[in-house]
Amino acid sequence: MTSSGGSRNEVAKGRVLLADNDTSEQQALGSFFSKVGWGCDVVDSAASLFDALASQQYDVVVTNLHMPDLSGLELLSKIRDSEDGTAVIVVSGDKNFEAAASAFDEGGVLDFIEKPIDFSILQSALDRVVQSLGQSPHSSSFVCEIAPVSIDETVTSRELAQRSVKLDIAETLFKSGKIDLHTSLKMDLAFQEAVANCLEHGNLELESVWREEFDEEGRDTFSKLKKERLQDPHYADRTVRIQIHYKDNFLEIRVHDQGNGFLPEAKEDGEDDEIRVHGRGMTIMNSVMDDVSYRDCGREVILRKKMNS
Amino acid sequence: MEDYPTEIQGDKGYITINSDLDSEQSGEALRKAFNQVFDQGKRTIVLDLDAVQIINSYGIGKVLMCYKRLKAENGVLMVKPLQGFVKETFELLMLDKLLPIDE
Repeated sequence: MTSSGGSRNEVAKGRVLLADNDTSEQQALGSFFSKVGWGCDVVDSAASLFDALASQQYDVVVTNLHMPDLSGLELLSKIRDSEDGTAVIVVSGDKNFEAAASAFDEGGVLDFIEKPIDFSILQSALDRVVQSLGQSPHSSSFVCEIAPVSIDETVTSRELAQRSVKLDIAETLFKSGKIDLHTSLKMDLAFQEAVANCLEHGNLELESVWREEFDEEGRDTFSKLKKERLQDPHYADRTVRIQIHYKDNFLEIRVHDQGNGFLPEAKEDGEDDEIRVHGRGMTIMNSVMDDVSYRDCGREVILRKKMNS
Repeated sequence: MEDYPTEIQGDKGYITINSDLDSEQSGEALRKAFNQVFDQGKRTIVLDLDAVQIINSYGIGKVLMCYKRLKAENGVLMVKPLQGFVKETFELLMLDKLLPIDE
């Protein structure tokens, strides 16, 4: 059995036992559970599934119906006999199976998800599990307060280009139950956009239109110039200052570059959809944050969002 | 990162993006896969984003580059039916109106 997504001591939505003998499904589902804040143990046979159920308590079992060592109906029968209130989500590529199995499911503990899996449907099923668990979850608490966060970091463009940028507080807010998964992902995306804008358009003085100029191998001018300028101290030594403050359900992010500045242009009536995608960073930022503003001639962008208490 | 699988079916080329589209590595894998199909003369190319859970600005930019290259030669970039966060992000950016669905 393999584990992912943290231990019971960490803030987690709950604990999943995932049973699937397909390694690619294991990876995809395991990655999903981790991202949405559920701890996950993985087994690859019906026998090891029941061993795990006998030795540990889980909030939900997610199982592929087609296991190598047991038929679908036998698997459901054994789960029904052995479970003690653990919710069960069955994943199956067999469209005809759901009706038969629903009739079989007298206890109403089953949920069905058809393959290929729509992760938003799986997320909804997990949400129902959380609701059904009510006040007596098997694992740690679902909602918790978050300690204040204060980050103030200044990095050169060269360093920034070599690291992945992630808004950790967005994941923490999701795991604490303050925001939903998609809001968390969009907040992270908005932060990445703000940083990318300061690095690429601010410090490296790259223009969006260069993304549409290609050489014969499909390499765009924007990427080529970005590589060149990251080798040039004139651009590469310019810094980006990132400040993230979270306190009392209020998040403020400031990202400040050393470029020439810019004035964000309002979208004109009559612009077509294609033009709009050039300003996708701003669209994303405006869609998820309460307020997006600029200072210092556009060199600093400020994102603010108030969470529900 | 491994290459994204490609497949030719009739007049269409298919690219299966089997990782999140949120890094330079994944963007480069998409560019290579796109070139492979594009160089075989296919001008209708379909992206299968079913396995993509996270897409960021970088990934969206690479998808749009594919779109631009095809459009320049009167081609079409299509996507398999989308779901989850990718679908929501495409709708937010109105990319769903730019890229037809391959049912």
